[in-house]
Amino acid sequence: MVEYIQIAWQGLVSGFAYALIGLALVMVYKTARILNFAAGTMAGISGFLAHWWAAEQDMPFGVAILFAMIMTGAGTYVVERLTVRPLVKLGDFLPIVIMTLGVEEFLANVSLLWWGGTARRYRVPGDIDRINWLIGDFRLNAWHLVVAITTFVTLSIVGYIINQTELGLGMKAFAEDQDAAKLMGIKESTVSIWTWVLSALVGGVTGIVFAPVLFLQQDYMNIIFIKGFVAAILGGFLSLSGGVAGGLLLGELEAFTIKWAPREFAAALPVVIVFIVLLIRPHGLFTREKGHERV
Amino acid sequence: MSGLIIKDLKVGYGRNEVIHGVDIRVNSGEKVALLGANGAGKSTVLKTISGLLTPTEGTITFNGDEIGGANPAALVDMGVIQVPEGRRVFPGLNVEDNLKVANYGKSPDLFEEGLETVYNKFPILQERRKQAAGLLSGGQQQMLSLSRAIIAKPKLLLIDEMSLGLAPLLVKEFYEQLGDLFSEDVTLLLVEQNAGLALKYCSRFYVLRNGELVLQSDSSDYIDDPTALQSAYLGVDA
Repeated sequence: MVEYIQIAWQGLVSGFAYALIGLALVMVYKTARILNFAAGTMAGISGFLAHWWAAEQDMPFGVAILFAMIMTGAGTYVVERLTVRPLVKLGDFLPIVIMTLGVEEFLANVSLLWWGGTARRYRVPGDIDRINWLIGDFRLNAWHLVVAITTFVTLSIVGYIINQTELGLGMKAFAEDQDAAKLMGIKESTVSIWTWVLSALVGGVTGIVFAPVLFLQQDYMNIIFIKGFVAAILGGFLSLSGGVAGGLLLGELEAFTIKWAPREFAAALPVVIVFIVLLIRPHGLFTREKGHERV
Repeated sequence: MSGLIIKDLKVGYGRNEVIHGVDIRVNSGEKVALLGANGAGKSTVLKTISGLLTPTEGTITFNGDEIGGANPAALVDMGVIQVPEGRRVFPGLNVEDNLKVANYGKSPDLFEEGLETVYNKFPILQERRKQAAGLLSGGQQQMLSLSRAIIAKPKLLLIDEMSLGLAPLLVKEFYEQLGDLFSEDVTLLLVEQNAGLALKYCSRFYVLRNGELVLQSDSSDYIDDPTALQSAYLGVDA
C-alpha cells in the first residue's frame, strides 16, 4: 500500500511541473491563439538565473528568485513586443509560431554560451532538497513539499487573476471572441502582453522550483516543456483547468508505467498518449465538444 | 462638421476590394439605415467604421476627428459603439460578466449605474445574471448585446443586422424599443436587410449593392411601399 502512495506522490510531483507548463502554454494559446515553443527554454533561463545568482553570485536565495522573476517578466515583455507583436498584424498563425521557435533557438544558445553545457547541481538554502522525512514507510522529501506548496500558490494566484481581475476578464473575453472583445474596447495588445508575461512567470516559477529536482543543465526544461505540451493536449488546449488536470494525469500515468512497464516505455509514454488522445478525443479529455451556436 | 462623414471609402479583404468608394453622412443625432441584400458590403462598412477593418482609401470622420483605421479600443473611448451582427455575446461568460466587459477600463461606479438601467429595461437579464450567456435564447442574447451598448454609452451607435436569425415579431419589438433604450441625441447608423422595419425607425436610408451606393432617400418616400426598393437591392426591375 505504502509503495503505491509513494508512487502516486512521485507522479504528483512530476505532474505539478507538467501542469504548470501546460497551464502556461494554454494561457497564451487560448487568449492569443499562439503556440509558444519558447516556453520551456524561457522557464529554464528563469531557473538558471535564480540559482546562478544565489549560488555563484552570493545573492540571498529570496532576492535571487525575485530578481529572476522580474527579469523573466521584463524579458518576456521585450520579446513579445519585438518578435510577436509585429507579426500579429499579418493575422496568420504560422509565422508567429515559427518566430517562437526562432526565439527558442536564440535563447537556448545564449544560455549555452553563458552557462556552458555541463550539468550543475546548485544547493538550495539549508540543503532542504536533501532532507527526507520518514512517515512510517513513506518517504517525503522536503523540497517536494516546497514544490507542492509553490504549485498550489501559483495556481491560486493565476485563478484569482483570471476570475477576479479586469485583466482576467479581458483574457476570457478575448479567448471567446476576439472581434467582439475588440468592439467592447479591450485592447488586444494590452491583453496579449500581460498574458505572455503571466504565462512566462508561471513558467519561471516552474523552472526555479524544479531546478533542484532535475539537474540544472542548459536544456533541462525541454523535457518538461514536451510533457507540458502533452498535458495541454490532454486538456484540449483551450481549458486552463484541463491543462492542469492533464499534467497531473500525465505525471501519474508516467509514475505507474515505470512501476509496471520497462523504463524505456515510460519515455515513449507521452507520445503514445498524444497519439491516442488525438485519435479518440481530439478536443481533449476534459472539455466537451463545442456545441452548435444558438441562433 | 459634426456627425459621421464617410468620403469615398474603399475597403478590401486582402486584394479583393469589396467596397468601391462609398459616401455616407449621418448628421449628429440622426437615425440612418444602410440597406442592401446579403453580401452587398453593409457589414464591411460598419466594421470599417468601428475599426475592425482598415480602409484602403477614403476618409471617415466623426465630429470632425478622422477615425478611419483607428484602433477599435480608441474608438470605443470616443463613443463609437457597435452592436455586432449575430449578437456575439461571450457564450462562456455569465450575463453580468458580459456586461462588465462592456465597461472595460472604465470606473466601476459607472458600471453599477449602467447595470441598473439595463436591468430595469430587461428584467429577464437580471433574473439570469449568473447564467452563461450561451444558454440564453436568441432574443435574450440580443437584449444582452444591446445592453452592452447601453453600458458603453454610445455617441455613435452602429447596429448590425438586428433581425438576423430572430423571429420577426421579436425583431419588431426591439425596433420599437430602440428609442427608449438609447438617448435621443445618439447618432445611429443601422444595417438591415429588412427595409420595412428600418424605414419606420430611421429618417433616411442608403442602399448598398455590390459595394456601391445605388440609392439614397428619405424614408418617407418609401415607407408605404418598401417592396419598391427591391429593384435597388437586386439591380433588376422588380
